[in-house]
Amino acid sequence: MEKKHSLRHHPLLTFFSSMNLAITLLVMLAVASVIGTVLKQNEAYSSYVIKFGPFWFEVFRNLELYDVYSAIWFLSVLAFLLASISACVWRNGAHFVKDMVSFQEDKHPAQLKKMHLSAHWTTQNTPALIVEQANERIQALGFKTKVEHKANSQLIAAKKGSAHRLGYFFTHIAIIVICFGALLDSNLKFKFQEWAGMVESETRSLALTDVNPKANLTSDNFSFRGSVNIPEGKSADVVFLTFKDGYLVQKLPFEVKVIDFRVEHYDTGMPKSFESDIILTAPDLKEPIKATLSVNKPLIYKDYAIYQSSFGDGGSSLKLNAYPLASLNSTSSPLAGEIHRDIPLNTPIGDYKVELDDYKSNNIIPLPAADANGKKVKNLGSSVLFKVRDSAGQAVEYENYLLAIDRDQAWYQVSKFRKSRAQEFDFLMIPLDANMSMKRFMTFLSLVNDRKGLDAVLDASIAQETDAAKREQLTTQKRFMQQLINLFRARGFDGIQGYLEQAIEADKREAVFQQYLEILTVAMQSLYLKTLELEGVADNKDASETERRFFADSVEAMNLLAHYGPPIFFEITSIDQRESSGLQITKSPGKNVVFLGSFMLIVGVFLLFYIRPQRLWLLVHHNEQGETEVIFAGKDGKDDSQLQDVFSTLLQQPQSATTPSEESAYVTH
Amino acid sequence: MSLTKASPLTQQLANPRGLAWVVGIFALAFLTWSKFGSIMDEFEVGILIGTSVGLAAFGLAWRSMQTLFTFVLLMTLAGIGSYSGIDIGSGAEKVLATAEKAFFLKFLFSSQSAIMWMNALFVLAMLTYFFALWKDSSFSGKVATGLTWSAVAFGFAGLGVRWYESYLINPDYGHIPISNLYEVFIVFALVTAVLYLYYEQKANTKALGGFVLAVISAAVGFILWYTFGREAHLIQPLVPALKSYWMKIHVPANFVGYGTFALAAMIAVPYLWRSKLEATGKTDSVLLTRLPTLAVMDDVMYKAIAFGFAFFTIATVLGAMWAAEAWGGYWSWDPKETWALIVWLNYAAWLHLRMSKGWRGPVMAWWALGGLLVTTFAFLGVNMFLSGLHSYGTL
Ligand code: HEM
Repeated sequence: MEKKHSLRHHPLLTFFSSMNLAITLLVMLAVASVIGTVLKQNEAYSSYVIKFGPFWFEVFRNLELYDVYSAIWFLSVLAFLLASISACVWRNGAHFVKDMVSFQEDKHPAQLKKMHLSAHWTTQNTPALIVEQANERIQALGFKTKVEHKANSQLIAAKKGSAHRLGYFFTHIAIIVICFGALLDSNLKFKFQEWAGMVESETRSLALTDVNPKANLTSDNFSFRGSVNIPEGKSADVVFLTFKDGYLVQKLPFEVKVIDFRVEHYDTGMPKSFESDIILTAPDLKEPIKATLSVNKPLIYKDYAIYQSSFGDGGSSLKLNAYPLASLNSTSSPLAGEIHRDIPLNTPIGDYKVELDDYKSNNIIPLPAADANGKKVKNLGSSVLFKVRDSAGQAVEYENYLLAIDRDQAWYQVSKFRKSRAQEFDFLMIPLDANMSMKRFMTFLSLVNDRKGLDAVLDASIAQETDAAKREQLTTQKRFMQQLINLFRARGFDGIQGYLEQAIEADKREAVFQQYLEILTVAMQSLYLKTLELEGVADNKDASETERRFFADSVEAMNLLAHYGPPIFFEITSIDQRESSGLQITKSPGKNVVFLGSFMLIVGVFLLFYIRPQRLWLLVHHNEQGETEVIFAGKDGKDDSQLQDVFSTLLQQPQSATTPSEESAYVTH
Repeated sequence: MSLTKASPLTQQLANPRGLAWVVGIFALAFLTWSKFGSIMDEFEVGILIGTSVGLAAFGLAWRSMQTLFTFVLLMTLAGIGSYSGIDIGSGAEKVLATAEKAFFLKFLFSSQSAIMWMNALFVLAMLTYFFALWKDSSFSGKVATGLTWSAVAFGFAGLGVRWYESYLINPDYGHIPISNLYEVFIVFALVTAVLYLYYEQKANTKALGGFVLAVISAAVGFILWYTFGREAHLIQPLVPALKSYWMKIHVPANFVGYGTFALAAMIAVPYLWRSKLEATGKTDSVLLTRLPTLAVMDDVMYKAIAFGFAFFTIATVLGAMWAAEAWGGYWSWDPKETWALIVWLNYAAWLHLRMSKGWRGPVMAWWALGGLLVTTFAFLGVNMFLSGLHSYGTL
């Protein structure tokens, strides 16, 4: 007993159980958490270097700020808090328990008279009667009472709301329980393996069989949280855990097969639900489990939970037409491919690889104003994301839309492209002819590409000119027109401007540029008329508004083609979609412990706040004058304002032995 | 007179009005169930029962709640009734057109009109409270209280009608209006106001109204900007992650927390003002006679924070349970989650200082005021500046 007592006053315990330490730790934890939210956690190291520069990158890395919540110092603060709470519970525990069960019947008259709520008076009634009546009344107010008969005094000690103290135990032990549950889920075994160098992350994307063996985790792992994409009709028995700058492969003791994945949409095009029909098989399962997963509706199997978390393309197969853009020939060649696979291309202008990255079945864009139907969004339909990589490894990124897209009542085939991730996408919009086909544009383009043919076209067009002076002028400009077209086709308007920058003084440049544009336009118009002629459209000099617009759009598109990357346009003609379902699978043995702790916490908080510990004492004794004196006193846990009501009520009961008569009542303080 | 002082709830239940209230609430719940039971899952039935029990108890404990509820119910029914011309799933244009045409809807009870009434009344109430404090006019004080009650009634009715409108537009869209930043700001204003009205009655003072209504008016400012600047008031369907019964309990519990923390912070302002006056010996200031004593304000502050802390604890735990179900982990250190923890730690520290160390006075008041910054960041800042899994509203 003695030893225990001294332990409870050990300086270390005093330090840990001090409220100042506790509050400091709470505030430290809050500040650390702020850091963790302001600095985006667990990104690739390279992006931190870009953000902070090499010096601060190192500083922050040494402070473990990229993964604050598993940093040693953060865990130490948590450990200190746990130690502090434990010390606090330990130190206060015995005292609080004693306080809960005790009636504190050892109060002296002097102590009682000093209390904040206190009254005393003399009476003619017999002590026994007073005690009996008072006891009844106090009990009726929900107090537990203990009556003590002593030689020359009788005492009622009453208490209510002892559960307040229970609240203290509940809240504080709850924190310990929650941290314990979290510890179970933090997977110490794995942390140890990591520390001992037994696991290494895999950074390359490889077939499962080629993954670094040290990145493979066995299925007896205690807890984890990983994800896997499973194409429709395929199955998986592993999940991938993100780890450092790569991933780990976690083996599962069961296999999940995705039968079907569905996305439903609202009429706005927003996704309404994601669902997967799955079948789970395990060696120890007699019957496979069939289930439908959706967001907010996971499947729980043993310690594992399987969630619908994302979706993607599971290898949709597509058919394409490749249009050569630098050719004299406007015909396309058909190709076939599959998302997540590459198509090798051997062309006269070099070898390329088409990397089919993703298929998006919807592209919802906001509209600047509501359309005729009151919709503020528009669905551009599906698109394919791909890269075209040349033999030197340079790649251009594309997103081609399957459907034609309209702008101001004209239709276009649209392709977005950019040469690096740091750039915004440019939009190539190829105008479509009356048959909704790219034929006219491609014919026009092939004529522009045809340097020899250009001569003939220009000659023919000059021959048609009736005004002799103009004819003369055109003839002298012919060579120049050819040069301009070549320049334009090779580098766009920028090419012409670049040329002017070398050849012409700055102040005249703008005027000359306008002049050149006019000449270029005349030449292009000749080629365009030739296109119409080839198409068999009536030879009309004053082309319709539609055709003039088509011409302008084509010139604009050709201008962009100069920057489009490898000169091939991929038209996607059909797609057979196969989706993949992104599942998250967790094993979390600590979850229920955490929830138990949380429940205790809630109960505890309510007990602490809404149960008030209250005590009353009524002592009847013979004072020094030999009179029978009644002392009535009360104490409330925090402040006495609530007990005051009870106290006054009891004092004011009429015609009762307990009640002081008017003259003798004497309420102190 | 019996010595037995019955608990207020049972006492209330014994009087005819209390009994009628409880019977009425449960009758209403039963009616709701018999009409919509077929489309409710067991959790929603559970929530309905829980809400009815809570509401019945709340009404017994606080009579004014009974009156408020009755008004809200009648106003909501008036709004719904005015839409009788169109069917569920009529589309947004038709709902808007009807709201523009029907007199009742246009001027009073379409969700937009009701919410605009709420906005206007809150701002008016703030001005009137300050006027009452300035002129020491008890009549103006009563008017201010009346305005606040009316604002609250309009606000709740607006939300009720909005709930119905979401089904009118498209049954697919139908959802309780607590799902995006626009809607929760309304909830925030209403919860703060109701809590304020409760403490106004308990502490028997109207001097604090202007201060509390100031933070509500700030929320109103945001709602107006969000409406006219961003058209955020348009009813949108729910993203799949929010389609969960957890939302129905997690969000309101959170807003009881946010509301009480805001209330406590706003009471800290007159508290600091008064303690400054007292400290500098300006005992002749009329404010000293009009503002409640430091002890009263301190008590309201403490009670509000304790109440808020309890609800915020529940909300955070519910959030963790929801996260376990929707994201696969009860705790992901997502910014919103983390900021909830920060708020919670902040008030845990405050409560320890207040309860165990017995701290009072300006430091605690400043801390409560600072708590509003922390809370506002958790509530709004996270959506504006940090990205994460919580997707219910971005600016
Ligand atoms: C995350 C950590 C903690 C939480 C959430 C927490 C929560 C609470 C709450 C809600 C109360 C009730 C306040 C009141 O009396 O009204 C309380 C009281 C108390 N806490 Fe903590 N606490 C924590 C850590 C600690 C630590 C580390 C200590 C030890 C120094 C401590 C000691 C106390 C004491 C002595 C009381 C007063 C109990 C009473 O007056 O009956 N707490 N705590």
